Amino acid sequence: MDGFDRQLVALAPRLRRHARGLTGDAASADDLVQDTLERALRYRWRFRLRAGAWWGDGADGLLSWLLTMMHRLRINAYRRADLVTFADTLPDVPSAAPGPALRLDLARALAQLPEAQRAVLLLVGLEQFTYAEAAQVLGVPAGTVMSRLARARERMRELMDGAAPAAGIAAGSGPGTGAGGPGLQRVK
Amino acid sequence: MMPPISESDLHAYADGRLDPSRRAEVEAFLAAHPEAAGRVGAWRRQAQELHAALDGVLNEAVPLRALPPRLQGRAAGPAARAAGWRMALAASVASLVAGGAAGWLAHGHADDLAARAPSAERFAREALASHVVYAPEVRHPVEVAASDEAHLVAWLSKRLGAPLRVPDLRAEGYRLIGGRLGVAEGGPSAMLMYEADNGSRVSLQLRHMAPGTADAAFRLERLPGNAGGAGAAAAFYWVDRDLGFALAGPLERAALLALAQAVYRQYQDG
Repeated sequence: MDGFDRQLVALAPRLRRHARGLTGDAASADDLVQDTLERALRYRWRFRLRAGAWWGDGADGLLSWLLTMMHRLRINAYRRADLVTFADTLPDVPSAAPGPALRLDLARALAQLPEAQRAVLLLVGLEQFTYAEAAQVLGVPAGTVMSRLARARERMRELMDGAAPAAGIAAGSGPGTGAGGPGLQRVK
Repeated sequence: MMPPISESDLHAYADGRLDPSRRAEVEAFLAAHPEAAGRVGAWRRQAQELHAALDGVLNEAVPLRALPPRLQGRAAGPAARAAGWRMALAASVASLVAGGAAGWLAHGHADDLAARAPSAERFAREALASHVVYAPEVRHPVEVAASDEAHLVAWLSKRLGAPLRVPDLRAEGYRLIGGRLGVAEGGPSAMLMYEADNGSRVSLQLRHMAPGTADAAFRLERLPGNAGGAGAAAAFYWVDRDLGFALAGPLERAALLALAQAVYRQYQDG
């Protein structure tokens, strides 16, 4: 193992958390992480050659590069839908778990979002990426990130809190909001 | 005249992405529009719920299934050993914290571990493992930055169930960069991270021990075996009035002890 390998291993817990949120399922998440890391090893030269990025300077940029590949793998897999199952019921949640209602609600609500919205919600809400960073990871304009984020949050609110959809103020929807029904939304 | 508040402003506000003047304008708007304030509050709760549901994964062992063969290697060489102990630590901490606030999938192991009382030694081991996981994070080592110290203190105190005080280690050359909520066996722990000018980081982790846990003097916990070699992380831990403390960092024993004593003194004075 070299320094790059070591950084990949160090980031594996972060990738697993993100993948768990994306897939809702531990086994699929770990497969996705493995595929992501395989690609990272295969295309490591691309990361090293990125403008302004030199992995020797630290892990900066590596996580977003890895998440970019993870999201692309998800999209590719959706194009071959037979390879993807999204667990809409979560396994292994004993009813005696602390705060089960809240967590189940969250997991179920998350599972009902279209993939494109779930991706934005995880990047912004969980990874604390800026909108510009999330746009870069997903390969979409920043306005699209914002409109997907708005839809995702309102949908989650309806699902978790039983809230009525908000009328919104000066709704900041841009072109290519690309949300929509369950299953695949192409993200470009 | 100020530009009207848009939906995008509300999201940027919820995510803490506005500059102070715009933030003040949004706050004034929210004060006058309870419906919008309610939505912003719900969005923030969603982010907290995401962390509550998923952060436990960070402390789980990384299974071989998640790693390509090349990264599974335990071949000779310091790099492989470093990765090896990192995973071994993650494995041990995952089994220890499963009864606590870990992610939803950890709950399957809760029963057999719930009966075991938390001990200061185990807490120290968990603290050391958490330090190893979080300290190398360049972008997000902490959930709440030191710039928002009042919020940090209120938030961690609430989750910890005990008033948290943030020791000032500037005299020792370490400034606070922020904190995060961690998991310890049987309950939450608070992690405060400090950084020196040379980038070296130490973390102070606190948790509520079971009532009646005996006070304990400073003890040193190291990584198992010779893992990490020179500069490997170690932790001093102690128990003081039902609060467990663990100070972890890649420091020599004497330097780490000096920091631990500074923390101890500040808790005594207050």
